[in-house]
Amino acid sequence: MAVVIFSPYSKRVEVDVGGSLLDAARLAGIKVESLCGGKTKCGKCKVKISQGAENLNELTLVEKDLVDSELLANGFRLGCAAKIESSGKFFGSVEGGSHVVVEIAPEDQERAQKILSEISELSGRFTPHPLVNSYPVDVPEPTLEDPTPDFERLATFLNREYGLVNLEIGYDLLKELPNIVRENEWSMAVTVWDNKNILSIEKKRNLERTYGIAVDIGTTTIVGYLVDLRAGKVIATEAILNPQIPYGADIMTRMNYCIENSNGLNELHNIIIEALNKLIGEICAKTGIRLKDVFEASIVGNSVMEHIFLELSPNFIALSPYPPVIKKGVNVRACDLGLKINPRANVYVLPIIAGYVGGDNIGVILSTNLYKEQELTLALDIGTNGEVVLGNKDYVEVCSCAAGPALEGASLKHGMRATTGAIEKVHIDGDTLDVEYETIDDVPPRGICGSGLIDLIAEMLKSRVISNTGAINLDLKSHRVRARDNIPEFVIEWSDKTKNSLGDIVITQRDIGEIQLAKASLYAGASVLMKRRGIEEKDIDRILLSGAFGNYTSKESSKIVGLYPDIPLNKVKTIGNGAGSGAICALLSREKRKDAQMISESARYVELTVTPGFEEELMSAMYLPHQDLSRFASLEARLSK
Amino acid sequence: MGDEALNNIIQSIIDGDKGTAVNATKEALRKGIHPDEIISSLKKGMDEMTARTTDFFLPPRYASSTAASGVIDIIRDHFAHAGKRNHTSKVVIGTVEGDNHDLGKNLVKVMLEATGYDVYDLGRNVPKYQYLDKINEVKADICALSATMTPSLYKLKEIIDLIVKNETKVKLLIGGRAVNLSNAKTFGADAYGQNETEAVKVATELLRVASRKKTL
Repeated sequence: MAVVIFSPYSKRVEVDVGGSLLDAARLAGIKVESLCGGKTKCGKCKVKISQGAENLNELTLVEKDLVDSELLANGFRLGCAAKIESSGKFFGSVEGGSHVVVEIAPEDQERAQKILSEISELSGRFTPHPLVNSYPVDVPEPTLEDPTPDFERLATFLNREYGLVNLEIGYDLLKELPNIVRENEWSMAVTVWDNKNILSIEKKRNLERTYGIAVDIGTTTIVGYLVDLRAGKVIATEAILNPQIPYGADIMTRMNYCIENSNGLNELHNIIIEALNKLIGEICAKTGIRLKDVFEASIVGNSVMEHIFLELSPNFIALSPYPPVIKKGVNVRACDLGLKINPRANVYVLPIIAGYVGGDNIGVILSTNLYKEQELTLALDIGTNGEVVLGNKDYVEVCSCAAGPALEGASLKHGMRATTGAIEKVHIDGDTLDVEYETIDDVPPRGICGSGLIDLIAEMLKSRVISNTGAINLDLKSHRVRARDNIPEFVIEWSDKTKNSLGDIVITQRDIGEIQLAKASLYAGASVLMKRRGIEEKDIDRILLSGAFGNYTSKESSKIVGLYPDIPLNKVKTIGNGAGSGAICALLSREKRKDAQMISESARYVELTVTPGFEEELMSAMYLPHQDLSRFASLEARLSK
Repeated sequence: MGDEALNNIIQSIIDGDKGTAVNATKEALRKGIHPDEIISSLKKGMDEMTARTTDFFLPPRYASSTAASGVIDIIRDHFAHAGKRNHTSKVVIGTVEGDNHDLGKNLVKVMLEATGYDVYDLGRNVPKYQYLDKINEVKADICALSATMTPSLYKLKEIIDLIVKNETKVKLLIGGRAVNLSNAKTFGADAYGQNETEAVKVATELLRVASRKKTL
């Protein structure tokens, strides 16, 4: 018998000799992915052994075959193949007996935990220093000896007690001031923005209850984070679909709507404000927080989304040379935008870098701290419009790639967003071409989302269903491979196994082409940025994959399809919603806001379409993983066998 | 022996091998093969490559096109020195103002050249008056316009309106990722090509119809 400990949960279970680590995980209630059900076939149940590897059986042949050699070298094993061997001298205590410590990688942890870890990781990177502060005040009442007027009276107190100088009060609040102070007998709570603007004067309340909201307005998805400004942490997260989608799936068609209709901008603006009000309303209702206690909002989005949010014309971003209306961050009162939080709350919209590189990208740079570190980072923010960032403390260069909505599951025959019923993990048996998969929420499949698509393409490539050009091999002796209307396709699941028997779920040759284009544009963007600076793969210290897509997608499959340059997997990290995290950073920190401005001014934008050599890079990157296989030396052996 | 050079051209176009294509062309010219024959080999190679590929995978088409443009450059130089060229139909081509994407436009350009058209490429992000000026200058038969982003369609419409207003005889052929057949109809263009092969087919058809009208 041995004790298996699962980190970071500190769960321990006792396992008999011969028991596998996958069994141990089930016993401990830890979710470790496995598609084949522990039959040493799918290769998905990889776990990292951080201690006690000597208490396990030796590496099996099947593991050598299914697991990347790089991962094996880093202590990874297949949960189903790694079994307890030595009963050792087990004395009942871990310290003295055989034990194995298994590390569960962040991307294998369950989703809810993932969002939390994303935030906790953030808070370690900077000290919260919000612009909004609330103060308890007990101002002496006016007397004959000291008949100082109401406002000066309050200001003097705030200066004496809290050192605030040059305070300003808006006209609307000034009108209410004499009544408020007397109703509360001069004992109140005062909330101030940026040490100068009085946002609210009210009855004394629990000053812990000072909140802000950070919002990432994506072309497809809007995510809101309710933040406790005093504690510097996220309390609740909520995501909704962008209700502008009916006006166009991408920013091009949205801009087009504004150009085409004289009232188009106003219409799209109102829709987004309404959506944010609904989102914020729901988060506040869920957490029991009053809307008026939300004293600041911080907004990120691509340039077009930020323009529409501010009701600034995006019409001229559309065409070369893509000039935005404003680049620096904008501060505007919530009531002026119709945002239903505290009406005097400041709404801070992050600065942008260029017409096609917005505040969302600055958010990624801010939250990852890459602009402050010695290490060289390559960050890929994967959305409808993808951005690639290369840089460190010495320089930051960015480019924008029209990846298209394919990686978000949109625009494909059976593509869908990552919601209930989406196929998110796929394994294809190399011999039988049988497909094993997992769906979100374990229900019958309705379609396939981005992470599933990348897995699928990687598996199709490994099992030779497709060639390196992406062409489906119609000569294969499998009923899963067929042509419909002269377009080849591969059947992922048969109609009778799907939700409501909606027909066979397939991926078509056209779908594969869309994904090839999307992944090639990201790879080529990265490649162009690297070449400009004379950077090679070995010079890169880490690759960060940001965006909902990057969050749940297998790093290994992404590499097999050639989404990012060939860099060891241990240097590749998924960071969740980097843009949203950036909005949170800016909400919580005065310094981060200054940094955002600095990044906006100093980051260099590279326009790919006019960069010599870009087209050739794009073309050769459309192959899987690349036309020049020597660029993916770590995969060469596996893909050419 | 001349056949061998031409076969080499055909094969190198199919393979997208620019170096071999260029060498084989020089070889063919040295042997006194008529440039028209080289051009028709070019077309053979392009057609064969098209037959082997799909619309879903661009790289082979791009590679063949790059190889073909290498051949065309040499032929053009040859004509420049020889100073004479048989009459061919003239095409003015470009991507509309505000649009920097010219990959598709370049494929069409090379395919037109390989078919024997005399092509005047204005490049990308081209203001509307430049099209009009060039059309008048060279007495173009066809003006081919590409728009790849949805907002570029407005620029496309502007150019078409300008050209139509000026009553040139030029035929308007449009294409690009943002364009479809219904745009072509509503904007008042003469034809639409979905890809480079179709564009050439449509261009030839346009001129055939135009010349028939003239004879009537």
